[in-house]
Amino acid sequence: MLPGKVGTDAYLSPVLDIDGVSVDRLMRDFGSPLFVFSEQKIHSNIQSAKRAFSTRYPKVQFAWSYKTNYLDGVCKIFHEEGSWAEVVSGFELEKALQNGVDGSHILFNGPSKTKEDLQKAVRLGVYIHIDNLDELYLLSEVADEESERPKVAVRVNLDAGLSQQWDRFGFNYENGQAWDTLSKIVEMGKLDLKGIHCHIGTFILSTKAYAVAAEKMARLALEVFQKLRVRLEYIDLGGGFASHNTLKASYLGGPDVAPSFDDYAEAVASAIYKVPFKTSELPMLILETGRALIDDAGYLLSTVLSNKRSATGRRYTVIDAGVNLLFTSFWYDHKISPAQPYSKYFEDVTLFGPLCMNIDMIREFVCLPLLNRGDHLVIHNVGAYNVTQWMQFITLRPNVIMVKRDGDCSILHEAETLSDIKRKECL
Amino acid sequence: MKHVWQSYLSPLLKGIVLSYSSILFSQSLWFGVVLMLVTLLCPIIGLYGLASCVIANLGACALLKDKAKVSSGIFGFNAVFTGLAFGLFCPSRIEIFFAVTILVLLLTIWMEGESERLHVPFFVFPFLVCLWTLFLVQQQGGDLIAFNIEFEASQSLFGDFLDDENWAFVPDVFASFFKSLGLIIFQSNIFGGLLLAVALLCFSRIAFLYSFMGFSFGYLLYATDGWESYGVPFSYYGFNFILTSIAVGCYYVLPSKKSIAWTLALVPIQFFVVLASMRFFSFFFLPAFSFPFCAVSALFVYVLGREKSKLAPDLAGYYKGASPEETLYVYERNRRGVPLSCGMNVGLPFMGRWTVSQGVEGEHTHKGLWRYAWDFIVQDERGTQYKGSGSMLTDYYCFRKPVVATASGLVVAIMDDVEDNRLGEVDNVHNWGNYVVLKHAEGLYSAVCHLEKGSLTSKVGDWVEKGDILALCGNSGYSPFPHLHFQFQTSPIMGSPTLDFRLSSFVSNEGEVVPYGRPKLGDSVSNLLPDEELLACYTFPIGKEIRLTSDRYGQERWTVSMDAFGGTFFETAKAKAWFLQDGTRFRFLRYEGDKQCALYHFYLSNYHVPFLKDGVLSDLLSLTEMKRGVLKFFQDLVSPFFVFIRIPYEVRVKESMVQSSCHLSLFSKGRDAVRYDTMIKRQQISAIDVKEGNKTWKILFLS
Repeated sequence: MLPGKVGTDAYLSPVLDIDGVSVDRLMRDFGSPLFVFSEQKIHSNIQSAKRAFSTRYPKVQFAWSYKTNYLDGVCKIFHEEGSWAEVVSGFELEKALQNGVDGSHILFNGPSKTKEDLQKAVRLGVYIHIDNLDELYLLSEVADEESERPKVAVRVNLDAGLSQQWDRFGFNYENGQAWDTLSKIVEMGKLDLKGIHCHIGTFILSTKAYAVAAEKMARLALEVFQKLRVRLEYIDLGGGFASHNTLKASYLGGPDVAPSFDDYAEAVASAIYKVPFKTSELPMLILETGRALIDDAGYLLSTVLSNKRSATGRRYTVIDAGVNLLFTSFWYDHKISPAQPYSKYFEDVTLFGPLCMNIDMIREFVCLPLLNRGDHLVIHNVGAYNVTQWMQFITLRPNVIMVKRDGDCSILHEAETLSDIKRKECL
Repeated sequence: MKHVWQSYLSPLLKGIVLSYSSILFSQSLWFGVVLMLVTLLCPIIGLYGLASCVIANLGACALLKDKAKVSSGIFGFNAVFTGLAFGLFCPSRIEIFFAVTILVLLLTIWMEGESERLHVPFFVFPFLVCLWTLFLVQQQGGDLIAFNIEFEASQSLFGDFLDDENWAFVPDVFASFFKSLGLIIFQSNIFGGLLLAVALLCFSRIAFLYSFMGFSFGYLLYATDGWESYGVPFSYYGFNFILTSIAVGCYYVLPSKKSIAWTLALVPIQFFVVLASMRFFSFFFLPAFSFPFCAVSALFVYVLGREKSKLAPDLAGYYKGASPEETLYVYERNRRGVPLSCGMNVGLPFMGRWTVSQGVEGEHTHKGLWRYAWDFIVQDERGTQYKGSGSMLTDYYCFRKPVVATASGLVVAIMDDVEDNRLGEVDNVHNWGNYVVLKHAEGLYSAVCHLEKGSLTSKVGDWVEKGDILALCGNSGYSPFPHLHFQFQTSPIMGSPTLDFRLSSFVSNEGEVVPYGRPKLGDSVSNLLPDEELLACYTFPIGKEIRLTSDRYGQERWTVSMDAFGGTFFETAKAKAWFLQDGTRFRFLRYEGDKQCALYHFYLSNYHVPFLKDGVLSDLLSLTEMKRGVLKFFQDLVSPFFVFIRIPYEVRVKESMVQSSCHLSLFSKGRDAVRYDTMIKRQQISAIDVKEGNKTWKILFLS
């Protein structure tokens, strides 16, 4: 399908079912609004990502980014597919452990690790990715106290040729901070240096940037081996692969501009092969992909509450899912499909959520068929970040369900009730 | 002092005892001692034998550098025969005794060297030459050698007891058998033979079976049929049947139904050779002795050494166990799983998981001389091999995926300029398309074909390591859609006959590790990428000391050592366990010594461990590890025909734990299993939990 001069026609047919289970039935059984995840889609996403990388590079390991979506039911599918866990707080670390992930399969990122977090991580043999020198010194204290040799990686930030270089996390590559830190760790001798990590940014639409980052990281790993005599177990390229969502400023639709896993894999693998490692000594490649693996496996089903006309005559449609549930609508133009057959008449609509707040707008402009009160809509690509960043605000949070591969539906997260909220109140 | 013991005394003593064992193709120390004692039933004869054996082994120690060979007794057994014969025929003239003994040693050293070159055993030819020399000198006249040809029982310590008339109740076939057996070591009495027969049965059921079978068949055919007319009793030459049966039935050849058939078939041939040599040597007034056995056995072993068909029995080959049982059981085990000592690690020629779309003896093109080949494609979870509509080459998942070297080798032939076909079209002219042929060893080449034009990264003469990228998968040659063709072949010429070669290991479908196997049609397979933690856990550098304690056996200390052949093993005061670690898995090879120790349970529990988390693997333990008993006795007896006892071993590698079990299976019915949980902590084995029925106990690794 070729895009026209205003991009692709995103809604040719209504979405009547999700993996064969009718949208009407789902909303009847589980209420509205409703988050739906497709188990089948999650499996096929991770499998195609694994296939793309592992047929090009001998040692590949995915680590599920917990912050992207830490519903246990979702995490467990990734772990079942062999993914490790990538966590960024003590809370996420505990969640991963409770999901049965072994400490030696957890990567601990993030700039806010407490001393208690570090103690726990050290005891469990978690890979700790060091973000700053204060953390390094704290960890060295912990190592002494625990009489352990913590497994660590150094977080590196680098110039991958992107217009906006992320330098907030880790140590800079180009100005030598990263090398200083690596030398420091080897010199200290208390920590077990296992790898290096970088995360060049989020929703990166350029595979070239990954090629640059991968090559710089591989060269750094080789240099560590040659000069510091430490063979690094892995290089971790972080996350940032784009999903099929459409960024607000984007001219073309997401599906047309987002590289595939094959494109990313080709760029990364060929870049690492430029660095003269022996085949048997190639470091493991870790990927902390979150968004691209889960976004299109999540749907938000919603119901039209009312229609009205603006002062200028524009059609306003109010639905029961707002920015409290769909945080990502601040930066994406989510694809919206009607969930029932519709007339041939389309009109530009502004789609509002149910909150009594001016900012609660899901789509500023979207061309939709004329919808009536009670009609259903399917909002696509909502799997990443929404069920972690959602808010209990004005309304209660709805059910999250999963359509299983055998067609059964099960609740991943139950709808909130008033008593859930009141239980925490003390006065 | 220790040096003298290790370098000289120990090989010398061992060599002396094993010189006796070697007479009946054994490497068992106690059996050698028993044989020595039986020769001493007639002390004069026995002492001459022993003296000759000691002198020969001393001489070999002094002359030769290879003390390991001396200690195997290979330079002594001909001297034992010579000494015994000297004691029997002319127990006098010490200087002649020395001369004869040294002569037999020199002849043995020469013939041993030649036999290595010709791949034919030298048996007792040195002894025969020596003895004939002695006889010829005697015929020359003079009083240098006075022969005393009478067999005198009075030489014996036991007097009348050894008299055959006391043994008249023994049926003639057995009496003859015992007598023949005794005559091998110059004991011309039934009692000595009987002792020998019991010892032989204890040493090896198989050897006993073959010896009696060969002898009684000969007896049945010829002994009753007027053998007496040849002037000597059947038993005087009957030992030839015994020795030939053991040698070519179960020592040089693997015991099997085929070897039994051949052993029986050789009996009439043996008979003719016996008669002919009796006559032939009588021209020179010489006895034929064991010449018929040597001639027939050497002939047959030489014939089997040629490239043989499937009908011929298998030679026992490089590894010969201490007994035919051990040789057979170890062979059966090795056939199923250990790369041979060349240690070549052979993997799949790609990365990630691919699926076999045409296997060995496939339905399309893998036929005839080219039947040992595989076609591989990449499939998604739905079993489709392309994305989208599949109307372009780039839609195919395998297209332009890296193809890697299956093992280290030399690039010997390439083709890089055949156009890739459009989908559905084939190139009949350049069948193989673009290809790379690697040479891994003499006569072992691997080829990958249908590569993308211009994608080759190496040129002829390059050395590549296992896993190095050779090219990208393409669609050139006889290939209607992108796929990878892979085969082992016999020459560098693309398209030469394919070889039935197995991969060191690969992972099939869901985590099942296949050691030493061939992928089958429809299997989705990937290389075994070793888990770093397990690899570290199961790396035992030479010299490493492991201390441990167990509920059952108390403290133990193991050291990791290496033998002269580069084999690595754990050693305790009482036992040794050989192992192999090829970077993808740990495998025990064999166990020797006392089984009442934690090392034995370590052997059973960690017999075969793949370095793959969530990996599963099944294997069979060798029957050599089974404790002795009635069951084992019967199994040994029938082992050339069939094996009814098996010891299946199963292992499942989990996070920080290796779960394994083994059990005795009789006629495919399982019996009580022993379960082991090997705990792994901080890249080390920390403990093993053993569950035997209701009993549980623990082995704890210290340090």
